[in-house]
Amino acid sequence: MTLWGATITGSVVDKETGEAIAGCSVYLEGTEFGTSTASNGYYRLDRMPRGNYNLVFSMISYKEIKRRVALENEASVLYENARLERAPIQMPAVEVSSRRIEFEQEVTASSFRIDKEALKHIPVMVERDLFRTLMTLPGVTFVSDFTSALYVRGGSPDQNLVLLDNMVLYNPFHFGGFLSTFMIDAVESVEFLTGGFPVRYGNRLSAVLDVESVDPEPLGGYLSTSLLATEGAVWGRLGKFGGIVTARRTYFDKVIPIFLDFDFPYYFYDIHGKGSWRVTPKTRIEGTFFNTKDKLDLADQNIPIGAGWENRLITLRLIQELGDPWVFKSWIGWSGYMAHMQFSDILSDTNRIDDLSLRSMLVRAGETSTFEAGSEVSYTRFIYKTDAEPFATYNIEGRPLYSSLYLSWRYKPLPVFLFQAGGRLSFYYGSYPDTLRDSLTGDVLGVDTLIRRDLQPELRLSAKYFLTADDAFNLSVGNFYQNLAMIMPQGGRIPTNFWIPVFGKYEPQQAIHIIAGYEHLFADGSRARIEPYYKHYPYLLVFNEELDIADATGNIFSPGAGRAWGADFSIEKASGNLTGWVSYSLAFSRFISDTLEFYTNFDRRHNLNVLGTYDLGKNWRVNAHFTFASGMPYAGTLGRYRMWYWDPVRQEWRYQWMTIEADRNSLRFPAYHRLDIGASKAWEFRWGTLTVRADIINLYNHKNVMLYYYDLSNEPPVQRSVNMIPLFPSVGVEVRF
Amino acid sequence: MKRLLLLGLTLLLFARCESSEDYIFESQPNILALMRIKGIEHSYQYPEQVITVDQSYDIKDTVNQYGVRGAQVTVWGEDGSFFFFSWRSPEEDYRTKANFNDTTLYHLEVILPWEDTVTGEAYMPSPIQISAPADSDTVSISAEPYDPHVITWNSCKNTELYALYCIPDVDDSLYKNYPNFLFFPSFTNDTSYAFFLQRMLAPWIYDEYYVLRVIAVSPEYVDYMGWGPSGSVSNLSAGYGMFGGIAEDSVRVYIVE
Repeated sequence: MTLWGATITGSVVDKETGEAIAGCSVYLEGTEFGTSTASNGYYRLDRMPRGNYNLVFSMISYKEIKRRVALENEASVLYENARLERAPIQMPAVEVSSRRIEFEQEVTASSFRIDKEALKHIPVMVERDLFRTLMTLPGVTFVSDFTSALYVRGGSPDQNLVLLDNMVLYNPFHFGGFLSTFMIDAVESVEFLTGGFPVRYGNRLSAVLDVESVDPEPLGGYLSTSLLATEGAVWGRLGKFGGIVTARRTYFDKVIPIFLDFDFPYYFYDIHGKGSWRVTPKTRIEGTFFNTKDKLDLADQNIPIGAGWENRLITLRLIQELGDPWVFKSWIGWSGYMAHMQFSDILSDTNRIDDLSLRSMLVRAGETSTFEAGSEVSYTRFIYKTDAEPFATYNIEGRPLYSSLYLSWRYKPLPVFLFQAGGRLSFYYGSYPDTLRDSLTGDVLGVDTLIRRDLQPELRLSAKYFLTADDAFNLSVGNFYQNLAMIMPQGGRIPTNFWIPVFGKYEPQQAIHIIAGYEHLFADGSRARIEPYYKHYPYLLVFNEELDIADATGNIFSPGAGRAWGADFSIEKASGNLTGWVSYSLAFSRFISDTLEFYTNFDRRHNLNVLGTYDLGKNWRVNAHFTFASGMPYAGTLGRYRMWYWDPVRQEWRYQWMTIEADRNSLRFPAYHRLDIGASKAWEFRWGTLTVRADIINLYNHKNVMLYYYDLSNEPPVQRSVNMIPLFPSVGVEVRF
Repeated sequence: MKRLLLLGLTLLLFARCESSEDYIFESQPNILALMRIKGIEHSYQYPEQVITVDQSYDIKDTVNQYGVRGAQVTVWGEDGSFFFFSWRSPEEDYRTKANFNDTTLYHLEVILPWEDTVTGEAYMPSPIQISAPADSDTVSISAEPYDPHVITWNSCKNTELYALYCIPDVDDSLYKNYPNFLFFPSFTNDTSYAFFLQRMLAPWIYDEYYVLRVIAVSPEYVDYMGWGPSGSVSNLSAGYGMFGGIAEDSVRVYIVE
């Protein structure tokens, strides 16, 4: 460390649009001195030693710039602005120097950043998909091939905060699990935090998925088609204005009958658009539009089941540079969600959410010290309605208001030590008119108003200690609140999500995270990590699977506590012809109530993922993905017996079969394992690129069990299984121009 | 790198300690010792008593065994009033003819061939007798439901509730395989019940004989059948089955419009 030094400062902007580039790596080549640009594009390097250097500006998707700089005396202050030009060719999946800077300047425990180039090269089944990629990360597990829901470190999917351009998305999944609602080409970057997340994020217990829409580029587009869906996009820029629209629609209803001799009247579509307007060099306004819809209607098959859900999201974002180094950002947005499930005329479930939110943040980004202050106000309307005529009809309706203030400080007082501290204070107010009805006639008997008021202080601390230039320890602790819960069986085997806010006697859910971590950064930017963690849930709401529908508001959840612990391990290879990673998670997850303690349905003890992509050259690329996951618990049947009784009608002794159930979740399915492989070849033409892709899912056709049932028509009964995806080939074509 | 490998190996060793809950299923004896008390007068006359001793049927191991052979079944009253000397019938039940009273606590003991012993105890209900309508009465339902006929009977001791059935008096082979819900009883804690309410869910066929049957059910049998609020509950030490009693009486009525 030197006390003497010169200063280099300046800004980095897009050459074509003039927009500030955040996160651009700026460093002196051949030294350990470097930083990244703040969200306003500014950077500052202090205390630089005397000498002549190459100053490098490096950013994914842009051409790298090198400038010769001479630092001659302690008073010298160099102003070096850079205008980066978009790279016409694909960049490597991982940009080395940005990883180095991230490693040195941030507490990176439980944090994964994936840019769009990396997403495009990841091998996953049938379609590139964000959630399928996240499932391969350490600490994340899944319950079946037919859902993309993420179970993070012993937490259920409702404990994950999913943000698109800072607005909450309530159901980012499609039925069937092949695909999430995000289209890879509409995503600029993803930050996935599997625990100990900073105070900027609130109202969830387990994890954060922060998705940023892509920044519109000069005129271009693509059209991609596979066995399941067709997807396309167009984008462009004109002066200060830019825009992109991406859309996708499936045709399961046409393809599945070919393979399975079964009509499947289901489709979904996704539309994701973004527009940006650079009002002045320091003021930018962005708008995002997002609409997804799933529809399943089996009425034509004489099966009286229908289900559908829809996400709608609109945001407007203002980014205002206040002058180095201050930046102000503000968002206003509406996120709407509607889900519906119908079984004949007997049962109808409806969930509707309208979330209107206003968020603001003020950032002062320095080289060693960064302050961030922010606020959030969210007014939400929830409706959850069940009609189960003639037995019960109930309606849980509320308009909770959630408001928060937070303050965060990241400081690196020593080259070997870095910490980040933050506090968040939230107030939750909810008023719920509880309509009381006669359980037989459905007549309204009265309305009872249930009110909740909660003040929720949250504290998050994290620190990093560097053992060497390439090795560091991370430590992160924090407490978390969540004011809504999902009405979902633990196995997650209903196709959609139904949300309600905590109300009446139900308290806000709480969690405490303690995470330790050891991290090693390789010279090429590859990373190895091991992170033991412990999560305590002082109060947890689990959907009551034995719900008495006549008193739904009184017993819809089973309150309890929980704990989850384990360790995550990952090692990746980020450069060279072969790229990929190996991740392993050891996990334990328990739910505890006054009367019960059991492993949760998603308590996977071991989860191993091995992914690799090999670049054969000449635009040939092959990939493979192997998953091994130990069996998950289930509540099964151990045996049955004859229950004898006297039949007064027929005047004889009779019996009926009664089952003997095992303790809750005391049995386990067999281990899950699967190998997927794929290959792609691209041809480059003057007008663009044509890529053909082929994948084989479950290459050795392993029968992964999803559930068991007993065939009682046999004597004795036979246990049979419903298996997940068998061997499944897929081909796709993409045209990019 | 060596440290990482060491940590990885430690993790794998730790991972071997998987803590699933192994559930060892043991077959449990399932015993129904229902003392059926049938008498048209207030005297302790009892039909043949049947005690069924089964072994649970294990689905996973397909044991496929029921009707435990060689069990020693004993029932005795605390006052020495009754002793059940078990013998097996051709249907593999234990049967005897017995006299009970409604003031003695009776004990059941079943010594199983594998030396487990299952015990239980219960009081027996009093005999029941329907006082109205009389046997072979004609019931006109044209006045129903405004002027319902009322079925009445005597109050029975050691009884949790009464169950009522109104069954077409035809050859029972005609409805032997009908599902049970077609004959779901009406329940009451009182000693009377409206005839119309019992039959309100079933279609009427006029100018036919019906059997009107009332059962006095002991608390143990109510719990066993799951008619109470707690679902099916056993009063035997094994956790399965039941020891208790029912008393029943019936009259035959002719229904006209």
